[in-house]
Amino acid sequence: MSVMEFLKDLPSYDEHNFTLFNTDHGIRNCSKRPSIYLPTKDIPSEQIIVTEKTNILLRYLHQQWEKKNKNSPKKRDQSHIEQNGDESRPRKRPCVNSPLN
Amino acid sequence: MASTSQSTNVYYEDPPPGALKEDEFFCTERIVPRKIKPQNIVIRLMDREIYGSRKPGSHFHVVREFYQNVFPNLTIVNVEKPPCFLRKFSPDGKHFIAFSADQTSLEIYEYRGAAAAGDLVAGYPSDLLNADADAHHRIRTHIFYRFFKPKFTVNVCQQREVSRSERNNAAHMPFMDQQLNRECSLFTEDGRYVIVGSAAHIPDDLRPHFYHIHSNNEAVTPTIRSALEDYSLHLVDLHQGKLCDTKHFRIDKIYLSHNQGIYLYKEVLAVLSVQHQTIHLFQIVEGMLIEIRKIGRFCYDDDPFIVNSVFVPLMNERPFHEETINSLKHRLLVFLFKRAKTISDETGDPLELRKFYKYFDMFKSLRMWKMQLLDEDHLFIKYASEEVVTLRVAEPNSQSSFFVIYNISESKILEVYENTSEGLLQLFENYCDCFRNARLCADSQFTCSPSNNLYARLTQQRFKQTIVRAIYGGRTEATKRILAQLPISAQSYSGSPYLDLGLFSYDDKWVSVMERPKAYGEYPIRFYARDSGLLKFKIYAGVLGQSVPASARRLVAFTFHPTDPFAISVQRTNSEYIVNFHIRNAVFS
Repeated sequence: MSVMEFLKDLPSYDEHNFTLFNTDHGIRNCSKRPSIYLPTKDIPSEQIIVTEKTNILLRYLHQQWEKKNKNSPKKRDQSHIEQNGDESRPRKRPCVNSPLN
Repeated sequence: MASTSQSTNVYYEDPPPGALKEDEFFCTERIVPRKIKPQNIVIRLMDREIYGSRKPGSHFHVVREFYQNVFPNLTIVNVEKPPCFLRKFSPDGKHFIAFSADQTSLEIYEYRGAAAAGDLVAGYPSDLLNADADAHHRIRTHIFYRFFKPKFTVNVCQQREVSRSERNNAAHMPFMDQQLNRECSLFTEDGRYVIVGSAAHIPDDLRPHFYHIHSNNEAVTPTIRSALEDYSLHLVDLHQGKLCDTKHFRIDKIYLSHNQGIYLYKEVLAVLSVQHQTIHLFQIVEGMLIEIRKIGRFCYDDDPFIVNSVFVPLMNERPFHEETINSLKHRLLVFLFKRAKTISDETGDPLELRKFYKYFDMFKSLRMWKMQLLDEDHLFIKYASEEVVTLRVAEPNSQSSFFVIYNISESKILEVYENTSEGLLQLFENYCDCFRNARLCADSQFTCSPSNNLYARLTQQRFKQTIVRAIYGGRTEATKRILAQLPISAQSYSGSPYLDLGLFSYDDKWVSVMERPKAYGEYPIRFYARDSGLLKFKIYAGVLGQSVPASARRLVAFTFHPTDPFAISVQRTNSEYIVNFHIRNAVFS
């Protein structure tokens, strides 16, 4: 079938070809309402995109430091007080035979 | 003559015509001239309107391409200016600062835009307006005030005499005869405030007390080359033209020139006292400099309290006589010890630990020389021997030095590198912008560097290869030379698009993104468009037509506007200063 044959009767003036077309004075209303999905369970998204505060260089350096110092305790760690429950004993005691005293 | 062997013809002289199929042997393609992008601004604007930025995230570069159409194409030689020392534009480009002739006041000018002198130079056909032409006298005398409107003159250094008794008794006395350092200024990101530094030489008859010089056991011994001075840092409001705050540093050594000893990152100001081996940290809060921390003898604010609770201080006991190692130095030594011990434990070889003990005294004698902030919470400190720090060594960069990355809030050392470290060199090459604190959001701080620009990287690689191949060169020497740039002084790079190597090609021997005086030649600096290779504009530096003695040290300092096609060059030949303006002139032919 050639293109010319396919287009020969166009434009069409046969109103029976348009029986399913409903104008209703230009107002388009559909009797069938689409179904709406309402989620009942809140599923958190797998990825949360955030902007890193520290730059890439410092992030790298911190990662390297953490690799080296996995087991070292944090400075000024008060954990020994919490474990022993003894706050009366100071962390540092005066050194009697120090050259500064 | 031809000899035949089976099906192959071998010719020992020119073959007879038609014997060879020329298409098989000769390339028939012609050299096609390289197609250059449209240079017409209208076509470029239409292209941007239709396509925008074709590649995601390239909007910034698409916008900057328009600078290849609008550029400073006219040099006005020997501009008449008021008696002052021109310094720099604010990051937003709205203000320009200069120092008064007596170096006691800060002059604030309002920049009136690149077209401010349009009517004055309208239709001028050439790209050079030379000082010798009398007809151009009117332009040279009026052009400064066309571009710059005087806004405020802020008297920063209050002059007064201080007697010896006043000086030794009063802790917060103003200092004598301080002069502003012409090469020291730090702007806040919003362009609201500027920090300037002043210094005054301490006269011999007012020799300070021994314990004022040696305030702790890390303090250095001053020399003639690094004499002690009184310093002040002043915070000036550019919008209101007033001096907001001043911080004094008495009997000290702070390298103010080129902002070497002071560093501003966002709202945090770091000041390195070389004499007292202390880093002072301030925060700018509503026009005030609030001291938030001192790092050196102690690292935490409550350290003195803890020390005093442990050691009962004797009467008249001075920190200079302490036998303990100061906190920051102790952190450094502990880090080096732990690293040596870890390596020794892993390898089962005590060599690394022995090396640490061998060089312990050398590590202990290291002194802070330079520093910079990597962010609000990280310091990058350069340590060297006391001879280097007090400028007793002729070539300081050839000496051994160490780079320390220190976390302020956690008081921990993240890493220590020597100045021959390949690891630090790699970090510097790949994350150069992190050392320069360049950010895309702040136009004035985005500069082309080896880590964001192919051409800048190529230049650095060439420089490195030159040193590697040179006599007495090599990889170690090249590493030393490149790492000598670190730490990078604050706000020492220009964000001008005309110095972006991605947009323009120029000889960085004469001008570069680093704002430092350069030697100048007899010929103009040519700027070629990177995408087309076409010559776009020329900048004439130096005094043309004047014979300069061979012995004269000829230097030129460029100050580019952060966004506009406007630049100032100041030529210095011995003690003579000549100012040239490089402006945009719309030539209609």
